[in-house]
Amino acid sequence: MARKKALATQSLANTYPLWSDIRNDEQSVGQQLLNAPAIWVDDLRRQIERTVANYYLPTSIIPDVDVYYQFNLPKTYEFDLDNDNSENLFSVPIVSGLIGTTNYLVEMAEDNSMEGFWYNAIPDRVSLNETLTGTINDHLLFSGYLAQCPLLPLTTSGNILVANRLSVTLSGATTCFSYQDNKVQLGTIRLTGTTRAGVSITEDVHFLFDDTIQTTNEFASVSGLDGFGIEDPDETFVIVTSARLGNKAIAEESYFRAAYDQAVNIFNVQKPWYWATSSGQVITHPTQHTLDLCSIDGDDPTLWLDGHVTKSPILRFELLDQSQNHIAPVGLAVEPWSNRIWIADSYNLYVYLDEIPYPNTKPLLGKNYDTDAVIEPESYTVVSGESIDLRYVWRRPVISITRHRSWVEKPDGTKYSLEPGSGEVPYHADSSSWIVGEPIRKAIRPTETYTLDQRGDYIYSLETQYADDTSSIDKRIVSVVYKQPEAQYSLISILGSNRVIGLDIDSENKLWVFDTAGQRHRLNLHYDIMLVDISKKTLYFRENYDQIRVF
Amino acid sequence: MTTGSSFCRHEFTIPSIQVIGVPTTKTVWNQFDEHGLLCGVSRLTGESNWSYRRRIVDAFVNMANSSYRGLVNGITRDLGLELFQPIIINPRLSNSTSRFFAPDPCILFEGPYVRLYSNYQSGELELEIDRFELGGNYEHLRQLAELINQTTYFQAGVVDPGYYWTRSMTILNQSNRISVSEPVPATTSFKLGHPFVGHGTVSISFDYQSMLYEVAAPYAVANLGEYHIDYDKGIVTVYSPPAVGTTIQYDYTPYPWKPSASPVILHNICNEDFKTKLFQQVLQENGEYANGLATELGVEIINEILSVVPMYWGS
Repeated sequence: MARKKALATQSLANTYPLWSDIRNDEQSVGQQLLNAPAIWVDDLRRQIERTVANYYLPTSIIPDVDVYYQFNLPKTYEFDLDNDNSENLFSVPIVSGLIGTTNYLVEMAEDNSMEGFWYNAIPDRVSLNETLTGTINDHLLFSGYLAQCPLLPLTTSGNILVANRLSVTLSGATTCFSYQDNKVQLGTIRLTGTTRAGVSITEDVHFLFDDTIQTTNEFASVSGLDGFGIEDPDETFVIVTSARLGNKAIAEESYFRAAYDQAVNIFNVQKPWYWATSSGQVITHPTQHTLDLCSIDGDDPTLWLDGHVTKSPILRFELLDQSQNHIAPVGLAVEPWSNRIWIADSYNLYVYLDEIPYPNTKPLLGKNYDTDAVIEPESYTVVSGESIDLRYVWRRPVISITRHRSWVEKPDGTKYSLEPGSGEVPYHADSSSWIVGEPIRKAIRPTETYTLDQRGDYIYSLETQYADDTSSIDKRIVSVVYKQPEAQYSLISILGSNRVIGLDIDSENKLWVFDTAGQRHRLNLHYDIMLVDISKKTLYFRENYDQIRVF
Repeated sequence: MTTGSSFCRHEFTIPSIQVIGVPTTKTVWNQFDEHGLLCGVSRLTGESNWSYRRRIVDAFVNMANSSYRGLVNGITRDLGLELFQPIIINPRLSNSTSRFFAPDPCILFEGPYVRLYSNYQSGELELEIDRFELGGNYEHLRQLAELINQTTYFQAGVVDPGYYWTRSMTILNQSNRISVSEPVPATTSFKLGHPFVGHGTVSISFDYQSMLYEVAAPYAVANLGEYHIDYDKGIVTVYSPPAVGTTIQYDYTPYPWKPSASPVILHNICNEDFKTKLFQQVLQENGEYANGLATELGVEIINEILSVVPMYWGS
């Protein structure tokens, strides 16, 4: 399993005292230990969320396993088993599926498991389902201040080009939550319209603070919008769209909720997490864009309820394509109930995993966790080209320090000695590498700033010798993080001479790509993948092939 | 089975094809099937979660039962088909006054007939169209809309050219009158929730005394119990404010109106009128007509029925 950090790790660490390393230092031995069970806690939490969602029809999970295609091999067919005749060891047959006149090579799912076959499978190809024409902004249905309510649809017909769950974005609200006369009043946006079946429908969307929330129902047309329970209706702006493109020109939020995110509950607060893209973090890397994991600033939910809900990145990843080149994202969509994030640039579609990496902590094996002298990096993660401040701190000045030295091992394996005033110099471990003398204060040496431009893990080390002839080593890993797509797909044959300007996933879990001509292209994702049941001599597929050939 | 096949997409050497066949479609029982079980809607072969969920939700909206509409709803849904709205039919409206030209227009679909009333209350019929009429040529929506457009008081349009050759009998039995009940504000003049109120459909409950005698104009409301209704605009004038808790019931004409249609056409084959469309009518000596040979429509329907039901015609 790839090393990843669990979402629950910090929640578990927060049960320890404020001053403890296990709570504050993600490279402490305690957090490394906690991370392992926290991965299972994450998994349990996701399963609970899925179970709760499946309890009700409108929220049941659409992308769950539904239709598959079964192919029974003849009884005379024999799999090539390994010598020990173990059921798990067999040569995967070469299988091709024919659609029209094209043969597609079908490969076995990862681990021949249901997870690999359905939930974690990455599409092999993308095709066009349908194209709808329109104008670029005709997914914008309502726009205006709450004081102007009731609002009317921006198009006279109120018809929606693509029937979908609607996204309601509230901004500028001061307070959406009040408690009066023994009654809780929630900020409410009431939408009226019709469903695909032409049935009239009214849905209330409740807000605790400025946010973007999707309706539960699909709307085929809208007729009106009303809002109540929100302070300062003169300042509160609401927009409703049938597709979310994160278009700031129409005051739409560019933060997209993470796929698995516990609902905000006043009594048991879980901070909502969002994904967003941004650019211009590093001046020396003008083409660099980042994928940002963001959260609301501050941990006090009462402040959120008072309208203090600005969001900031808590982790940034440099966005790369499969060839490790920078991409310039124009659209982002978080696939519900999955670990996939879809990003489009002008001509391509990319699929990334939402995992948070955890560095390989094997280099920390030589570290003394109880050392008195430590390196305190400004952050454990940066993106390529960013600078980082290193502070060398004498935490417990009990025994005098006689000398110390530090060095760094870069991701490419090269080592450099770090010396005050000179910075990085070629690595040397001779007597001149030591800085002799006891620090006057807790700062062992002045703060040093380094620019990190190699992708991967930098290992910073500080070796200290004390007056009692003992010595200690502290090590810290600073990761230059990036995301490379699991797969990328060219959209040029679908776009023609146009460019992509946005991306969205509809209520059927289908991807839509919006282009500069105002066209909406609905995409089909294809998985040339199979499960093999050698005992029943059966193959299972996700694609509806006209014909199966087994070689 | 066969040897020597070549790949179009992937280039590698294939010694031989051992097996060729066609896969079969299967579905996994999941949470949607559990919900469907509660609502009596089972998954169709190869149906995705998304379309299955839509059919389950449809079971709440278009309920199935033993009535005409319930049977249409149930059969349509169970066959994986959908109700649709292929045509717009409206009474003609004056642009200058925003009032209907007809005094009390009403559109009624009933069996094979489309009845266009210019004054529903007095029973004045402008046109009655028999969609099964032999040689009438109204079996498709395009011709039906063209015929309606030739009338004085009504107009129609097919919403999409794709529906031009849809059978006109797909439109279900229904009328463009909708009954509602609303609370009445305690004022002497109030506007109803909907304009285009049907004549003779208004009734009041609780404070009956406030609306006893209808008068011809708002200014003529001069005594207790007198009232006036502007039927096209839905404005009611009364002499004294109705008591709190009073409700008013009325029928209104939605404008524009899109009647519902289903690919499932439910018609009573024993209907005497329908028999005359299924069989040629032969004049008897006593001056009455008897069923003769089957007509083209009759042959089409009878063969369709015999192909699925083991029965003898006429038994």
